Amino acid sequence: MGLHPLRLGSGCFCVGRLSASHSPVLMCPLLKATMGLLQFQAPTQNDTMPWVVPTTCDWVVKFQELANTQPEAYFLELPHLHRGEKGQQRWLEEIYGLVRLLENQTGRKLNRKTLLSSVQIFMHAWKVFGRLIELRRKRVLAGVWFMVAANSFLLDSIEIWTERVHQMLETVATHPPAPEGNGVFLAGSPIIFPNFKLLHLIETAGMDVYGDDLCTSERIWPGAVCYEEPSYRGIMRALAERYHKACICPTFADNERRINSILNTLQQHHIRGVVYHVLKGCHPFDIESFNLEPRLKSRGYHFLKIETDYVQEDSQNILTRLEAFGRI
Amino acid sequence: MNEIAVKSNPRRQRLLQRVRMEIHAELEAARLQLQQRADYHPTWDYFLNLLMRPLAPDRLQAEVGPSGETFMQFGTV
Repeated sequence: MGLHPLRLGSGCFCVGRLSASHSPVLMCPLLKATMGLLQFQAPTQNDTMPWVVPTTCDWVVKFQELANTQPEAYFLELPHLHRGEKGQQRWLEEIYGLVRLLENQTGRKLNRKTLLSSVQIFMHAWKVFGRLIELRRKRVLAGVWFMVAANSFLLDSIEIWTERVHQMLETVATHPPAPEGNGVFLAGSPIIFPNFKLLHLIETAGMDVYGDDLCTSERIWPGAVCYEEPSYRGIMRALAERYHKACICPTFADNERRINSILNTLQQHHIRGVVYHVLKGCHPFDIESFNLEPRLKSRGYHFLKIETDYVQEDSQNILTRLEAFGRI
Repeated sequence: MNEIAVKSNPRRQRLLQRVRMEIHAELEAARLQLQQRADYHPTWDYFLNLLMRPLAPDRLQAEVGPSGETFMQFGTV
């Protein structure tokens, strides 16, 4: 439809204080930083376009109210039970509602041809992204570089981004793999540049991230859009399923598959344990950690929960804990 | 805080100016840390440059799409 989606989010430590006086103390630091950044945004034509807010966690739902800025929010009501037909049907209706909104905003109609063309562009991106994951699993690509590529997704046109990842892969693929060592799986709250604190500390402690399930990194890639028939309705249904049924965000209530997915990755790639990142105030991941920890430990995997904020002061403390974790 | 309120408040303007410089310094430091790694390659600069501009809505207006239209999405599911 000639529009470009942009995910709002910030990893800047210093900017959160601009919103500190009008937000809760224990607010998600990622959103607090984003609220701070919005104060620099000059009024533009973007103000006429609403923010699309999927109702995931409470902070996201309340973000526009806290930020108190234009434009208005358009809420996509996310059914938190996603295994049943009822939730999937409700989500599909939400997606049709979003299409109507975009058509009203742009004055253009979404048709089967443009939808199919867009799906194919993204399918190509997922394929390239899949190779990126493969190289990280083989220890050819360091966890921190993987995060650089994943974080930049949707910050440029998808075709250009995909082409650049492809070029980069050709360069990286010739590198020899790093010696097999202390690979860990990183789970939990999202990490956004420049907040690579935890990634750098993991490396300093002699480990590397071989896999993750962060929604700003590997979880961007939950698979292809699988449609049974290439009709408009068929593709719409497949898109809805891809971003709902296949999603393993911890805000879902019926999310057994999420834990199984982490366990499968650990088993398949001989990863010894999970470093679990919880940003202060990030309740969904905090809650989930109490379920995940015993499940992992009962299967012989190590688990380390790191609760942190957008500050550097706790770095030494975290490093000491990571070093001890690496020696287990 | 809206633009009118910021313009009429010189202290607020100074604070914004200071924080803007701090953001720039924070981003530069993060980029430099990555560029100084042994496994750095210039092909990464494209991705780093994208990440260096946190005020993306302003940027996208100029760079994305021939019509200049942008659409802001928030959050992931």
